[in-house]
Amino acid sequence: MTETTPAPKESGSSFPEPTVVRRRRARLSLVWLVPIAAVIVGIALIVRALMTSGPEITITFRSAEGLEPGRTEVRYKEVVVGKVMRVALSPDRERVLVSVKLDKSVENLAVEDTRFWVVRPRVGLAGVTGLGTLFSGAYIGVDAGLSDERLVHFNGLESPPFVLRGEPGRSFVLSARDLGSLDVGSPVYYRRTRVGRVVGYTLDTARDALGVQVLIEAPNDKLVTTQSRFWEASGIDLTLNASGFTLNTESLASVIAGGVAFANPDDAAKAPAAADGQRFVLYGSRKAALAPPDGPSQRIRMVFDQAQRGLVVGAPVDMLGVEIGNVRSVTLQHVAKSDVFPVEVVADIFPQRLGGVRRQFSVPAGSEARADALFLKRLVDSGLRAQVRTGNLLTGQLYVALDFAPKAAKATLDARAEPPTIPTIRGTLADLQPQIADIVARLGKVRFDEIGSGLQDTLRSAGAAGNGLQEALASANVAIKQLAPEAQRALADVQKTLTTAQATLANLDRNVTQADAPLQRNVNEAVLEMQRAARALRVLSDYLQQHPDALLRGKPADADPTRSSESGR
Amino acid sequence: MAVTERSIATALPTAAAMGLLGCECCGLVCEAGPGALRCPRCQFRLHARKPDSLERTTAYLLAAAVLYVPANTLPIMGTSSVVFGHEQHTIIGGIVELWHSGSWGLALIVLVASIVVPILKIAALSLLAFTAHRRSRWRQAERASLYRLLEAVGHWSMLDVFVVVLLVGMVRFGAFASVEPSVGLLAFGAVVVATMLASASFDPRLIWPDSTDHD
Amino acid sequence: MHAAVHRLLAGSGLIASHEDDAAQARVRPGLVACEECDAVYSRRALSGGDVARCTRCGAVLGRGRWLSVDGQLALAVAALIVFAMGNVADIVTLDLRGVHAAVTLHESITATWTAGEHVVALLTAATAFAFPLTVILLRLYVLAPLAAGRRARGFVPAVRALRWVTRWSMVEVFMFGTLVAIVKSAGLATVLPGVGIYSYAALTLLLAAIQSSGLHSLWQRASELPSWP
Repeated sequence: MTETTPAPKESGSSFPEPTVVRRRRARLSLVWLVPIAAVIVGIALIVRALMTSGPEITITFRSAEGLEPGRTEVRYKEVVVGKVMRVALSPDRERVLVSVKLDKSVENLAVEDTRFWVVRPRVGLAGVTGLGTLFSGAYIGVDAGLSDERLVHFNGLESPPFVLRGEPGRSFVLSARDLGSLDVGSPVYYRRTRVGRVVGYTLDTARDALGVQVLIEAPNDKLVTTQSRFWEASGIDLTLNASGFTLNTESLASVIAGGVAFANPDDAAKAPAAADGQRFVLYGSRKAALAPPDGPSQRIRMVFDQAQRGLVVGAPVDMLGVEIGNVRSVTLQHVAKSDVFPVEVVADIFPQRLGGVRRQFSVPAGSEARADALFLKRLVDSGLRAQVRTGNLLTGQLYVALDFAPKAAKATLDARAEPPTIPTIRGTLADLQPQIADIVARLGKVRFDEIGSGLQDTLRSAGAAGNGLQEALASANVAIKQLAPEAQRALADVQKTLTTAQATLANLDRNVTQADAPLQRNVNEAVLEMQRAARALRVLSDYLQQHPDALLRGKPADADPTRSSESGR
Repeated sequence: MAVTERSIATALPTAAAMGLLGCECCGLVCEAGPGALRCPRCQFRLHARKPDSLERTTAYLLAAAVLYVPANTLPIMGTSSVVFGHEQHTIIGGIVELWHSGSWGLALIVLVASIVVPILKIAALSLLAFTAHRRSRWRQAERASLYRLLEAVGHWSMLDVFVVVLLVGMVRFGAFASVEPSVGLLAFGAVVVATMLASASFDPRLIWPDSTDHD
Repeated sequence: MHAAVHRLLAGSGLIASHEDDAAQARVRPGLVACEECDAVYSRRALSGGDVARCTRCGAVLGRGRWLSVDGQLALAVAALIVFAMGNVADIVTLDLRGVHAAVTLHESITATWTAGEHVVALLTAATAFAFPLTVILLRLYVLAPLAAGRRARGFVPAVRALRWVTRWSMVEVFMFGTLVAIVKSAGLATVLPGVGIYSYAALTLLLAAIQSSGLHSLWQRASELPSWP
């Protein structure tokens, strides 16, 4: 497009013209495509942004640490599903209101029982979690709820929930005496493999009981049956008692963090799987957990006439080799009449632990006493007595043994007494004394001095014989020593002879035995010669026989000895 | 109007010599006179030459020269990372890094834009100011081209400032990697602004002195 | 006080000053003075891609418009849209093993401000955001009525401001700065260019196209309008 300006008439002087460089000019009307294209692109972007933007929700937290408006993300299962838009204080300045814009694809996350929390680096029993947030900054984690009710305002959690909804597995409640070294996050083991964790504990003040919640993760949750036994496997299980010294741990983690273990008793293989939320008892140790059911306890009483130093409360009571109970109390009594101080020991036993022996016992009809007491009476009548034995020589610990004593004095048990008293016999240490005295006496009878002198004579003669032997050996040694150089010389000569013989033999071998040996050749030739000579002689002798005068006259010129051989033969 | 041919001018008349004033703003030419204070079209103040051009140019150049030293010795950017450690980067350090990382072209461009151009601007403007002050006629056409070059290229020195500002916004990875601007950046930005102001306040018509020029 | 404000406003051309009404200078519209060497030439019509140069110093006296006012307006509209896109969308996203850090110009400036470098943040905000936006808006403000054949009300101060703001708007330098920043951070993380960087590239081209016509043509065109006082 050109433009013109009317040029006023300049008076006289004409001004120089500027230099003009021509160039092509561009089209015009297509230019409007540019803004149109820009508008289209802009609208497309806006539409896309609108389409992917979901609901805006508000979450309240106690603090906004790590939350940056416009930057902090909301993640569900590590996928970014939203972003923090604004952070503001609540009107009462108690909490922080965080406005979050969720993606449209996850708008069903904004339901009533969805939980939000801030993921920051956290050091806990389960380890250090959330380290990635050191790089990316904190983010908001989501645990999706299952409800259908939409919600816009949420209360955020201050720490991640112990169990995520939908986390596969089953949770159970263990009733325990005390928490021990357990805490949230402590591992749960099955066959020393970590299969779950402690997710919480509640103190039921109404029932004065402690419930520990554990989560067993799928697919191992099927291992828990209605008959499973749980026990506390914290730390090191170290016992030093009458049975000896045992050390038991589940794993190093359980040593540090405490732990729970469970197992299924052998006779409960077909038990059904436990339902979610079932209650179990948390035993103190593996042994306690897996012990067969004890059955009712029976209190018994024993009186020993000697001091039992080393018998403590809790010491085991052993019946016929089976540990059936524990000592409950050891008290000193005084019988004024005979001025002795016997020791009364009260113990609780569980006759059911005897198993079949107890089950086979049937209560005779018509008795008023308890079955267990009658059972004991039956045993005592057969000779069962209580005795204190040494459990551990090192520590001097004692235990109570109920065993049959064949030489025991007759005694019986009053089954109606509460508690029934079991007759006792002296402990093994008391028995040991006469035995030792007996041995000592026998030892005393041995005539050690005679044995000793006889032994001495034998030794002396043996010594003399030994000396003689020694002398003989010495002279033999000398002779051998003398012989030795001569023998050596002789040996050397023999060796020389042998070498010569060897050479001769070789020579012989070469000269005689080989096919082309000159000796053989010569011999062959000599033999041939002799053969010829022999033949000639024979011819001569034949001729002479036929012509004996030849000796005198000699041989005629034409005579052919061979011809005459025809007539000779 | 018709197309013209090239005309060879030896001694061209200047507007000032002829009593004309060209408006710097809209290009309209007016006759100088008592009422010709402002351009009738755009109301811009009419001057034969930019007022105090040399003074202002020299002042800005001095400021730029003074600020140039801290701009290049002080770091303009600091990176902190728990992995790579904390480092302060100067302009030259940044160029060396680009060179070592293989981006020779970009290293060269940043070198030219951030080091060469400011120095050249200061030197060139000083030369222009000095020769204009002396009303020298030495190589006028070349000096005019030099001025045009300075005007065209001057603002490219802001490149480093933008790079640092962008990096501060981009690298925000918390403890792993983060970038923050350092003191040198302000000095460098000031150098660029000062040289641009110096170039803008220099009146190139002083390259072509005539009898009407007065300081 | 009132007089001082009046003088200030008149000096910037926003309002007409009374003192100038009294004595108008005689205009020589047929002449053009070289801005760089003050030589005087007679005006010539330029068309298309013509460039008029001073014979003495080689300065550009004027350019022929290859882009009509309509065209300039179209480009200015596109530039505005693209400018909005470039500032709203992310310029670039750094991906460090799944951790994303996206940045817009606004965020960079805020980060620089919070890091303590207030002046630098303001400088960047001005040269990379405020001034380019002002250029686009002023152009639109001036071109739209011009395309319709009228003159905008604040035409004179608008174009005067435009002259000054165009000099200080550094979109192309910013564009290049993003490229250098991308290269510098490529060693640290994977770089994903966003819509913003393409928008700024387009903005650079558009602004260059718009500004290639210069400002004198605006004055020329406006002075041709019958409503010119």
